[in-house]
Amino acid sequence: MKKILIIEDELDMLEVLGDKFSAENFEVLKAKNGDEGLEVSLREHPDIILLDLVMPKMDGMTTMKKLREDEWGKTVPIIILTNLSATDEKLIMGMVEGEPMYYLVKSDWKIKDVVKKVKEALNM
Amino acid sequence: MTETKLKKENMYIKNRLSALSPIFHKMALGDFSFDIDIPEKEDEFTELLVTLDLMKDDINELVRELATSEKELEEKVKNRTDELHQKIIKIDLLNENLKDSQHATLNILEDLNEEKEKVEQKVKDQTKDLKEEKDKIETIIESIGDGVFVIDPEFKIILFNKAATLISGLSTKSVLGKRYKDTLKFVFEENEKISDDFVKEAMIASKIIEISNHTVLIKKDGSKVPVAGKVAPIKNKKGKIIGCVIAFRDVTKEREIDRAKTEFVSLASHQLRTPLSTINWYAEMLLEGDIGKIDSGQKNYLEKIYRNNKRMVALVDALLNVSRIELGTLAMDLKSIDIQKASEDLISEFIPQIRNKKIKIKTNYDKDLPHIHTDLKFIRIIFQNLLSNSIKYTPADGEILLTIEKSNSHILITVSDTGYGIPENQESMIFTKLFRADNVKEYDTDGTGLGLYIVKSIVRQLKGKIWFDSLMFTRVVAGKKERYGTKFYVSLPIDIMEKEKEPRGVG
Repeated sequence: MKKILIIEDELDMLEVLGDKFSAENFEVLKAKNGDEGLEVSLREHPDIILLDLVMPKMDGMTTMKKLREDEWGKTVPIIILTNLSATDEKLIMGMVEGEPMYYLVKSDWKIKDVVKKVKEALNM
Repeated sequence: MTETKLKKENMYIKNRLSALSPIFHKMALGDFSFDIDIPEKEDEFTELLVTLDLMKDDINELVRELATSEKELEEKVKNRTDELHQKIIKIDLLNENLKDSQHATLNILEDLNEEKEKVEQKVKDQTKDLKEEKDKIETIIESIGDGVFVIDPEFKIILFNKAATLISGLSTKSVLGKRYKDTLKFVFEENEKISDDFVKEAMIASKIIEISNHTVLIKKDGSKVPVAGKVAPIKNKKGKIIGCVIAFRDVTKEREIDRAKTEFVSLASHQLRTPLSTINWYAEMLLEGDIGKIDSGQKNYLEKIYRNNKRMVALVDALLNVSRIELGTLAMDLKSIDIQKASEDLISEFIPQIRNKKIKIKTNYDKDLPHIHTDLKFIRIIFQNLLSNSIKYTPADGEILLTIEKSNSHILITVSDTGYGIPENQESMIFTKLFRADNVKEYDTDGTGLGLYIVKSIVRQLKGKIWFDSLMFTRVVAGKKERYGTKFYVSLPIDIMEKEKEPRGVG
């Protein structure tokens, strides 16, 4: 069973994603912000991380940067979940350029497409 | 000769001479009516008498002739005198008339003089009134809170009120009599190019023109003030344009409020998106049977929830786009775009709706359309809105035609339909934010009134143009003539940068 960590400050969002991935037979770990997410990741070493960008305490980009500083974290696939505009999307692309394992999904996708993207990243 | 004979001869001479005496006497008196007896004896005396008699006859003849010509002369003189008399009478008459006229003229002159004095007084009074009126108007203009200046046909400033001095930082004295272009710098905010065509435009179009959005005035100290306002041509009674009045105001505050409003909308929309996404995903999961099979009644309700939620997402997206446009954060991402492919992709996304309404869609692309250097997401928004409007506002079995043509530096996209059209009296509103035409509200309650506003803003950002024809077809329905159809045109530069390089006409 693959282990997925969802880092998301919107609790409803966190819940719906958790429910879906549970239904898809994932072991689901949850974190409400970047700080917590970093801690859970380093402790639990999930197979993949679903990361929101705009969050209190520590935002998504900082969390990602810190993760990449860790030996294990260097290669973990990260999916950025965003409801930002195409412009901001472009900004993210620029910031994460050269990232080893990075994907982007948008919150207006169908949830089954989010799952598809996750599975794709895990070669499932 | 003897003495007797001498005496005898003397006597004879004496007798003969005395016979001549009465003749000479009469002649001396001018009487030539006498007869002369010519004696039979032929001598010098007889000869003399014959000569006299002939002379007398000649004289008589002459006298007679003279008398005749004198009579004729008299006759002529009389005639001429009569003529002259007639003429004199005529002249007298004329003279009389002339006198009358002269008299009348004098009277008129007198009247005129009086009238002139009256008019002069009136003019004096009116001038006074006018001056008072002018002073009043000037005081009013001076006191208006908006900046106001007036220019003459040579574009020279002839009035410049206090608010104008406050906004511009220029004193009235320093601008009066100068061409407004030399003193007031109205420029476009984004590129600082001169933006004062509005005056020319108002004069040419002879109507009130709005100062274009995003115009700023460069103050005396070099700082910039965003301004808005209107330019009105001044016409005389004959309709000739004799100047222009420009009223403008500092819109810094309005801009701030607008920005705050837009930021609020942006923030609110962002906040709305998360719950909407959650609803979306749960509805989707239920419909997919993730937590158990659902029956057809449940499916029906869930589909309604899902569809309506999608609508809400679309509205929030539109609002977000609008706020991004207004905040200027909708940045362009320029790439080489295959416009035909973009169009075909979009059409394929609409196939379910097109099939549902049994609408026929035709396309007509110019051969070898060039790739255009532009922003794909903008192009998609343009196609999306124009196509979805056409589909929404065309009744079943209608037709939609999409064409793309190329010209030298532009491509022209047209989307025409056989739909309800745009009411004539609402044509000018169609690109206005939140506006929806009356006739389509009843067919479709989904519309946000944002689509064409967004399209227009985007087309502007892409340095293109958008316009439309409406109600260009006519058909007869139940014996009544009915106009229908709408055709939108979008012209876009093939290379947006190319267009930018072109020198812009600065009037």
